[in-house]
Amino acid sequence: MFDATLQAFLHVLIDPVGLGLCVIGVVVGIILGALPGISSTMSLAVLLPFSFGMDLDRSMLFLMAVFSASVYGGSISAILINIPGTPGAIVTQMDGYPMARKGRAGEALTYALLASTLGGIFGWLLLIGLAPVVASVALVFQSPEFAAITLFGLTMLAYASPGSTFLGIIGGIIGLLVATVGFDPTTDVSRFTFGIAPLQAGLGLIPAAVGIFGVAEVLQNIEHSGPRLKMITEIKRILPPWDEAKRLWPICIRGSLIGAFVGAIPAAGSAIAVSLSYAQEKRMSRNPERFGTGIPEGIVAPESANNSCVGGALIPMITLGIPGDSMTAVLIGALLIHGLRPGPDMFRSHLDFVAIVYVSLFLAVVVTLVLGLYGNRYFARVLQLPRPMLLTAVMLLCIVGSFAVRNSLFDVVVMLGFGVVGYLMNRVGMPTAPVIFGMVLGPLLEDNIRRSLILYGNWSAFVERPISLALILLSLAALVYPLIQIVWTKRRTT
Amino acid sequence: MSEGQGPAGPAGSDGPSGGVADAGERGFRDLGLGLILFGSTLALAYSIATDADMQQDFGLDPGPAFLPDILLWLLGIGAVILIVQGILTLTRVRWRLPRELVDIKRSSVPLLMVTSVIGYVALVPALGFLAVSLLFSVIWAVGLAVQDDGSAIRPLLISCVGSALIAICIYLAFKQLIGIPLG
Repeated sequence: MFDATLQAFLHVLIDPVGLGLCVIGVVVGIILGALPGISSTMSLAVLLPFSFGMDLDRSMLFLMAVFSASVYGGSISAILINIPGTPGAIVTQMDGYPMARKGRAGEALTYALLASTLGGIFGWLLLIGLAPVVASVALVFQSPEFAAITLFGLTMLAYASPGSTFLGIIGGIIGLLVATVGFDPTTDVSRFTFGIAPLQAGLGLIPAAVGIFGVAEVLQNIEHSGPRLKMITEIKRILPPWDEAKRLWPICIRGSLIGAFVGAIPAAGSAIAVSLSYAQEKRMSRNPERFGTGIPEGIVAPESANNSCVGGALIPMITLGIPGDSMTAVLIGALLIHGLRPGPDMFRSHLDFVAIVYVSLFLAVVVTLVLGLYGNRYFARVLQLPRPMLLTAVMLLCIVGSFAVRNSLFDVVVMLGFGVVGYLMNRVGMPTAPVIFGMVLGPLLEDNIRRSLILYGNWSAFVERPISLALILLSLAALVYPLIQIVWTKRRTT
Repeated sequence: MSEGQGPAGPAGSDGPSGGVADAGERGFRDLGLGLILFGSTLALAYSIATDADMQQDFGLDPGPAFLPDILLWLLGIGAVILIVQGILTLTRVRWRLPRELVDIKRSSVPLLMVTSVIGYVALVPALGFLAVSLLFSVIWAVGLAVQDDGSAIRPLLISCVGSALIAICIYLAFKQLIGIPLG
């Protein structure tokens, strides 16, 4: 593995196009991440079509750069305009904005950047340390275990989605149903096509993701006129005082550890990681009352956790083929376009791909640090761009990007349909990400259940094999737990 | 690393009850959603039941209808739960529905956007991507600029010119860099 990684690293270093794509990915990622209303997932979804024309290595360099940089970008608007660019930056604003109002905007941005870098490196280390171990365990898995782990992943993803767990599960079921549209790969019978020829190839994952994450957000953004933003424009001192910075190292390391491990749990989420990290530091602090008043501890703790999640979320993706979050679900879509389905076999048959993921993430973190240090004040200016221009550009990217998947206007219609559904789901408070998780995991789940039933003749294989049984029980527990919570809450209130 | 906010209770129990109006809205939401899901489930179940290919015997393989059947059962049960929950909530607040069942004003601009994208798709074969993209961008940039800043000329011009340039850049990037055959 080490040799492959070193080889991939050298290969990237002598590829100016690849390096250039990494730099472009970081710049665009920071800018989109910084814009309120454009989440990291949306950034990745709308930029994904640009990677279609690239080879796999370069597309990974570009997409990982967008992925990692957009997560950091969210902190810029959190600090300067008190609106988190991405949900992961939601806690950063609590101390970031007050600190900026004290005239320390530049230092706040630098703290966020340094914490993000250290967090990113921690996540990366966890990825290269843990992924081979998980993959080697997963190599002994057979169809029942794969079916069970897919079910477990889907349950967890629905459970941890924002809003109602019950509606999250319904969303997951809808996603699984959508994944069955088109020819059944085993029997060649067409399902739910209703005589519409383009449906026989199924509903594309990329147009669906672009619709749900991109179009739905644009539709929501144009409901009302844009907010009048009170931006802090004065960015004077960039480098914080050394004495202050050096006492923040332990906080940064604790935050990174929390983020990396929380990120590795499928769907546990950056929002959970940043909240945990912030709460932990507040609890440990001698002056907890100072949190929320603009202290660097309140920026470093969540930002380190936020970025270390990136590496963590990639672990279930490359080892089990289960998206760690909505962004890795979109990444899986990109890999499918390139003819790759991630899973434990990656470490045997596509070691070069795993190596390029490692290298891409590392480079993305380093390039974000360099560009952030020199360009933060310029990136901040993007917040002053007119909203109509940005929203129109995003919508156009969604349209042309969806067309680009198969050069088909039908995919644009599919994207629009998912956009409308996503918008309506947002309106009624139904989480949208589980639909995409269902679409990603659906074929995997169906294939493995059916294969198990053909091989073993009945359902006993799922309960007789210990790993499969344990995963099914865990899935059931995740489904039943919210019900127990309701009963418990009702008992306490009566 | 999902961009979520962590787990919450099931529908209808998310968050403390925010008064009769909130409960009425929640009840209406659950009932409406439940009915839509139940209707869709019935329609899809009917399409499976009447499809001879789906009902064939494939030996040891449970067949193409296997997973859709299970999912439709689950979806149906979920829909019924939502309907019952909605009815119970609305009964509790004596069927006091929200003042506006559907906020038409709020949805009017998104509805216009959806219509314009349908128009975009319809016009592309005749006018080509570049012309339609320019038209789409400029009209929307002007519309949104008016929504944001009224009839102020400067922001309107900036958005208009900026959007046209971005549309050209996107067209060129996809056509020249990626090689997508945009007509």
